[in-house]
Amino acid sequence: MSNGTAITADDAKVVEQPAVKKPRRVPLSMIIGGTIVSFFVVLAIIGPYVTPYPFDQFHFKHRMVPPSAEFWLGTDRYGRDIFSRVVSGASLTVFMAGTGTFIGVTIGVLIGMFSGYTGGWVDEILMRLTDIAMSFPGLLLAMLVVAALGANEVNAVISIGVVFVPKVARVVRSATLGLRHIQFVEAAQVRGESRAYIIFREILPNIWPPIIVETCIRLSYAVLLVVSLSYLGLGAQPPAPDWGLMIAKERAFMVTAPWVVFAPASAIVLLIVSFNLLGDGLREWLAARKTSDE
Amino acid sequence: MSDGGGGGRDVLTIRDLDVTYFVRGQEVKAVRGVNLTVRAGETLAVVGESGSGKSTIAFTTMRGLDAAGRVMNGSIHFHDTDMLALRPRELRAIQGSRMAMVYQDPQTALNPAFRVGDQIGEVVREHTEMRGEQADNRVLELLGGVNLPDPAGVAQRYPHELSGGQQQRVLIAMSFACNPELLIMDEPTTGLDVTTEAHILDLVANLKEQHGSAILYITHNLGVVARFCHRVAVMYAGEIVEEGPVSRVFSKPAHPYTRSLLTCIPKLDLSKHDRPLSAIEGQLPSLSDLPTGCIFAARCDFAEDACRATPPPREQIGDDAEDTVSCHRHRELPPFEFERHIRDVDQARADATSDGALQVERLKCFYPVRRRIIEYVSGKQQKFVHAVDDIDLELGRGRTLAVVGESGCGKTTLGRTLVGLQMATDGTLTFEGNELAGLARDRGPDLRRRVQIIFQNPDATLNPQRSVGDAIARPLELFNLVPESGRAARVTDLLRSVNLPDNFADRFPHELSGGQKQRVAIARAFAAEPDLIVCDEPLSALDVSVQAAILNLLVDLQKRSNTAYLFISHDLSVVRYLSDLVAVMYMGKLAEVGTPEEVFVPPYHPYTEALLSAISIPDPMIEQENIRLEGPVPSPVNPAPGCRFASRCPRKMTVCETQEPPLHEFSPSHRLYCHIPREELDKMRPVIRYAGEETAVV
Repeated sequence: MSNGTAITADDAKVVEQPAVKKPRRVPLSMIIGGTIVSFFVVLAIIGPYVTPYPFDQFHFKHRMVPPSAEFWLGTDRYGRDIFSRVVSGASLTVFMAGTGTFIGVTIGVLIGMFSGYTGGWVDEILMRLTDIAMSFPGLLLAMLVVAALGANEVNAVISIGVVFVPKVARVVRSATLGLRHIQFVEAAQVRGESRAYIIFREILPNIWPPIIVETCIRLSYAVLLVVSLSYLGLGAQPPAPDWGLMIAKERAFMVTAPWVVFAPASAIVLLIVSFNLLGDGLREWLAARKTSDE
Repeated sequence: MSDGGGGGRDVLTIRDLDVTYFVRGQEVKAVRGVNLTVRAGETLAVVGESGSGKSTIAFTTMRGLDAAGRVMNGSIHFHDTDMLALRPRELRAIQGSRMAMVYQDPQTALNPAFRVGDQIGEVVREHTEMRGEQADNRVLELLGGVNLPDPAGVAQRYPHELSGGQQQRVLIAMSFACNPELLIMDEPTTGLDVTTEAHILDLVANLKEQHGSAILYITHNLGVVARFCHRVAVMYAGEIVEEGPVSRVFSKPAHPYTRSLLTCIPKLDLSKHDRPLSAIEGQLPSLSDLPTGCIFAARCDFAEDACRATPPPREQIGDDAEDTVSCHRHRELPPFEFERHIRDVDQARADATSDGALQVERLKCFYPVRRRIIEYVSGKQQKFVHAVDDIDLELGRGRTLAVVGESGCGKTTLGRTLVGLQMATDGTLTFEGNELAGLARDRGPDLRRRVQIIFQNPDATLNPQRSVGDAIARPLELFNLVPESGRAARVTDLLRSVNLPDNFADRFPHELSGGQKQRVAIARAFAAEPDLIVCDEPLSALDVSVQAAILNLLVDLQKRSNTAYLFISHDLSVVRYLSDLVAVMYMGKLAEVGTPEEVFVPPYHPYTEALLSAISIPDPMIEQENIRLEGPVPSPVNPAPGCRFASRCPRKMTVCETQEPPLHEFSPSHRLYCHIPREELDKMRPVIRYAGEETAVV
């Protein structure tokens, strides 16, 4: 009797007065995810200033030493302090992932809203184009873009944007479609509002929740893409302390000196998991807000 | 109106029931101290507005209360079984076989992934010994029993292939699968057309006769109660305020709330020229913070200090122990009487002149039917849904033209074309010499300003992210009506004109009730200082007491601003009250146009006649002709020539199927499209009459 319960819940809602607003319960996943993500963001900003050694300083007497009081996470084959490298690398990874996501989400939101609101042939063509773009695996598409433009950080960021645009556009388009024929949008059409006004002032404020959640999930994929591209030599170039690059360069010593790979790999996993947690928590939190407000 | 049917043994007994919802730290006492008894062969109606707790009673009885709701006190017995103590397995044995429920929304109650025949078959197999062919035959028998044409064909279909009325019939067939002793119906006809509603009610009454089931009927529609039920319990804010036989409650309502409910619905004999409607002022009390005295005292015209101090006891009226009222002052109230407005129809006819500010000429709106690619390539001809097909209408400044008809008749398309949400396929729309062509954004700003719209669903009409003040100020800004410095003051004026307090400008839509949102929508429409407003069913989502207040507001604003309304509605009583002209539409065509005094009295179009006979009127002193439309609704895709109504018309002749009906002009304002010769139309009997008289109620 799922139908029945839905209606009774409604019944209770009608009689409820919009009295004192109780603060909503914030999901635990959002707190944990948010905390770790903010930690990494702080690290990205202040990282280079707090490391015990410069990330590219060689200590020839201490090559491949295991974690110790002197070198907290050990050193690599050139005797560079891994802790300093991982901390310094946070800024590169977070910044590249963030910029790439920002580009992808911004363009994706614009295309998605335009396509969803306009409809008809325009929508059909744009969505078939996104289908084509999405039929390539994300990493492959990113590699193609970098291969065409040249391997460096800027092009890696652009490639992330290119990969994300169709995915974000899809999500935003479907959210927009749901509002296209809603009455307040039609009321704006009757008033003769411009297309831009309707898209940015009437529709956009109402689709923030899916956009925010999508952005969080995209960020975690972006981290993965950044390190993958670097690992393949298509992103940051040596001697940059990029996590993916570190794994790629040191992986030959993984068996004898596991710490050389362990530290950057854990940082990647932790950042991705926390972005996912944050996205999940946000989704739950925003959904709860929606049901209690409307 | 049928009396005395009851008298069987008690099937459902509810005693002292209290149900509370625990919602975010608040206790919402949704149902308090409810006593009800439903007997075999009897229909008990529970009426009330939203928030009265009527659905909660139904779901508690079916043990379908959601996790937030809890029964705090009281008992529910089905025969001698304590429903609240049953374990899930015992409950399953009773539900669906000995008691069944019909929900409000048939679309969500049927599983879209299964054929309807299989869904009914599942109930049959679960609760009876029937298997295989025997069960299949039983399904067909049930579908035949609810008057579905071609039961075998319907059984093979999926829910989405059936109309709303057909879906509801399938649900009723399912609920009767095991001849239940108790049937609970929660607003079973609310989303349906009046003609379909009349059919469904006849059907349920018939099945009840056959099986002697007890029915608990939950509704907000007093008209349906009067026509269909034996006894009625009126609920307000979680309590039963009055209970008794329908004949007594509707002729001598004892509780002030019942009286208000009966008087706030517009009657067929009441027009806006007679008097404003009596709305119930104020709001439902908060169910988490209840008043100490009578629950209705704050909104009651007769309340005195004693009412606010102590809750009224339940008192018996007359001899029947179940004829009760909870009111301190019920003996002192003045006698209740329905008003009578007997008017001179010929006089009204002479008043109906029009200066024709809005002219609709030969308007056609077709939607192309989507073709498959293969059909497109093979050059199959494009088909069209004829939503509006060749319509002529006229509407003068400051007047109201109501467009009525069943869902799918094209009335909404007409309104949307007027405001420029859709393109007309052919024909012209002119407003005071300016052509209303194309979409809104292609029209000039002045023309756009002069034509506004008010929508049906108050929850979707305002952008949830913008404050009320912003929403109302936007037309002022867009059309340069008021300089920026004066806008706040103008917003306040507009809020006052729709009877909302000034501080509402800072509120957001989710803080408002449905009626308040609709008032804001009206204020927003009037902010543009329009000359014509299309009202697309603005009342259908509101409770009757709120509906009356909004109707009064619309009438009042029209008088002050001389704005014309195109009022789209399916509710004939509301249309009668508000309109100066009525247009009856069927399948995109006009059936009849005229003043209410012309359309609501003979000669009728046969479709108007059927519509009038299908509406439910909560007045025991009114008689109604019983006309039911049989026959299939034709497809609106490239309709066949001839009268569109022919397939369902009870007065059909052979010529109707082949030729377009001719126009009869009874007066300059009264036009009627029908093949029936004029002499015969003139001989029609009024469908709605005062008991024992031959004059039409109008």
